[in-house]
Amino acid sequence: MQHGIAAATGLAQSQATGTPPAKAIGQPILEIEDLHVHFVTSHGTVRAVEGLSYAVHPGEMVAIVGESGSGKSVSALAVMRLLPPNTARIRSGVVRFDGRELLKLDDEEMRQIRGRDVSMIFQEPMTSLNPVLTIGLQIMEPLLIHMNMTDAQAKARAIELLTLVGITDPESRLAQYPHQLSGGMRQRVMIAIGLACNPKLLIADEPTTALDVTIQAQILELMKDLSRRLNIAVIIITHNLGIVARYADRVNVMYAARLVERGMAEQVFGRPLHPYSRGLLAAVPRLDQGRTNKLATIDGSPPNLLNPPEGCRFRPRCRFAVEACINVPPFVEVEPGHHAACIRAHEIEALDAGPRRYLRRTRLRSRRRGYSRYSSREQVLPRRRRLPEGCLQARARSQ
Amino acid sequence: MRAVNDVSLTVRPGETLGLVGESGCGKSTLGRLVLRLEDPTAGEIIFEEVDLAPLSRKQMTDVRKKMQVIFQDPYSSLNPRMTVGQIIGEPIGVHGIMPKANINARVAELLQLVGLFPYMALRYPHELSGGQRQRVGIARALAVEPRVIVCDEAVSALDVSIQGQVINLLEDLQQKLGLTYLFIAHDLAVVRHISTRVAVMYLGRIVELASADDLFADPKHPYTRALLAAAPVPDPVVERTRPRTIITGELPSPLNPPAGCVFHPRCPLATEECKQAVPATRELAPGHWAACIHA
Ligand SMILES: Nc1ncnc2c1ncn2[C@@H]1O[C@H](COP(=O)(O)OP(=O)(O)OP(=O)(O)O)[C@@H](O)[C@H]1O
Ligand code: SF4
Ligand SMILES: [Mg+2]
Repeated sequence: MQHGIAAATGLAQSQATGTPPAKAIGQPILEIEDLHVHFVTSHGTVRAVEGLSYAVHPGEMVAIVGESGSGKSVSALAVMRLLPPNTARIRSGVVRFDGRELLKLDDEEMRQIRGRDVSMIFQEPMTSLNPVLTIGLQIMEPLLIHMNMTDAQAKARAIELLTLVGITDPESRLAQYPHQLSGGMRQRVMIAIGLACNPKLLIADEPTTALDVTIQAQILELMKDLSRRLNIAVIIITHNLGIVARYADRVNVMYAARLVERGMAEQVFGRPLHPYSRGLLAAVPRLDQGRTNKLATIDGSPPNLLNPPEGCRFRPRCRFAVEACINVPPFVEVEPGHHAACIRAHEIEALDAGPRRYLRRTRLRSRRRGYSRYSSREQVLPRRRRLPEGCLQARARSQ
Repeated sequence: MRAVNDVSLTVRPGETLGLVGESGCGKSTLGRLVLRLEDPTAGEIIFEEVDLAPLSRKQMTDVRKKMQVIFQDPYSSLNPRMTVGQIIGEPIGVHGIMPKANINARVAELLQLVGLFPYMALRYPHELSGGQRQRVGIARALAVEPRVIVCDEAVSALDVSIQGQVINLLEDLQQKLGLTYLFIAHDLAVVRHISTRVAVMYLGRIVELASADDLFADPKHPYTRALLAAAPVPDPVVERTRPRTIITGELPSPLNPPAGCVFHPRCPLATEECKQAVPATRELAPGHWAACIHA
């Protein structure tokens, strides 16, 4: 099979992401409604997920972004029913997958679904691959269990899968152990295992965070391409807004256990409605725009979920907070398909100069002063040339 | 293991030298070599006209005062059993910078300098958020009044909103105190934002070095170009129309690097010649260096 990313060397052009985003048409494969997850700890109850609702359609890639600790992973684990049983409690909610209510299934029925219809890829493949089993056995296992294949059939399918994810020389890889592979290859093996039984839904939690930029791009192109070609729904959890912009069709933004914004990628990036999303987008330095002198920031830090602020959770950090924000803001549709949980969402653009305009303004200002983008630093440099040219020189070799 | 190979690098006073490259390419090793946390097998490290490589442990203590490091993980690099005040005060005591009686006041001053509050001196690391812990790490580094700070993925583990706060703080401190940074990171946009000049490393070698603007506007080395092409931009409209070329192949093992140019197995421009000899680093434009025969 000649695969765009799997091409041996040289440059591979990807078509997968050049196409317009899939329209969310037809029945969703996954629907989450009003999900609440709590952790009971010795310090009190952590409300890790509160009232989360969203849907994912076949062939669609949905991203979940948000501050660390906002409940992204916990909500995904709840769908998989993989939360730690002794402390985690799913207080309420419905998770409907392919017409079945996952939260009502017994453990055996859930095991059937996991690994066959729904797969999850974790951040660190080394901890989710078994170090003492060969790659071959680990890919073949779900095929033997869920698909009733013979050994020979499973082996042939394993080779096919490794080829699909761009691993060269797949036959000899089957006999290798995880530690014999590079990080990028291990992650590909995880994807191959995830795809083994033709899942309908793939959940990827920070699938490339531990990888290098060029390898990361290869893996994500691959996932996107497979999702389009095999009509797999993908949920991707990531901190990297560039990845979201490049690959996701729709975006869910979480803040402090709640969904604060949801929309098509173009909507959320082009016209963010929630002050947190706006702050987030303004805070990332971008390679495609001129350098700003100062990064925009969101003051303060995210709330403690043991004792969250009343009303809007973002209130203590929000520049637009008014008295009415002391009540929990409803999650409302502001434009078709674009929701936000902020009482000022409809007027936010008028209130906020916005990330784009903010950048343009600073750039204009520097140009007016006759500076290059780079000027702020050049200005301060000469003042400091007290030390001889090259205060630190290294010529080194280590073995 | 050859983590770093024949690297030559000059950091100018008051500048931020960014160091980017894939994980395991030797960025951190280079940082550790500079600080002599690791010993080079050959070469020299010249700091303020003194070669550090042959210095003894004791002699290095004095140099360390002028060179500090901030690590990636704000949690594991802070002792959980010490209060924030003890953590920041410790190096002041060790280096005998001021009488014991004055240390508390200095700690309070440092906490304010990094945007924290003096009352936080009594807290333990686990009682702070990630961004606050990273600020404690910065305050500890500043405690001995260093000239140079090696920031090893110092903002990589932070949330975007917090990351901006810490980067702005580092820039403010540089202006105020005339600090020099060696800024090691894998996020290209962050590196471009903060750096005066940028060095790109691949498999233990520096393949390109230029001012931040030149490097990002006109990358010369095929590897730098591949990095820039692979880095996504947070704008779906730009991304949908952006032509993308993604280099294939895995990162070779640093234990057994390819002969000739280390990048040749993945390089779209590679020819027979590239496999023969390690390409020399040439100055292709004023201040813009690259190690590629086809650049
Ligand atoms: N086993 C647990 N016991 C108690 N609290 C937990 C447990 N697992 C997660 N939490 C809490 O639940 C909240 C949500 O955690 P979650 O892992 O979903 O965050 P996240 O959004 O995935 O963050 P990150 O981006 O850092 O991965 C956090 O406040 C976290 O501290
Ligand atoms: S509801 Fe109020 S506090 Fe919350 S984000 Fe909107 S304006 Fe800010
Ligand atoms: Mg997570």
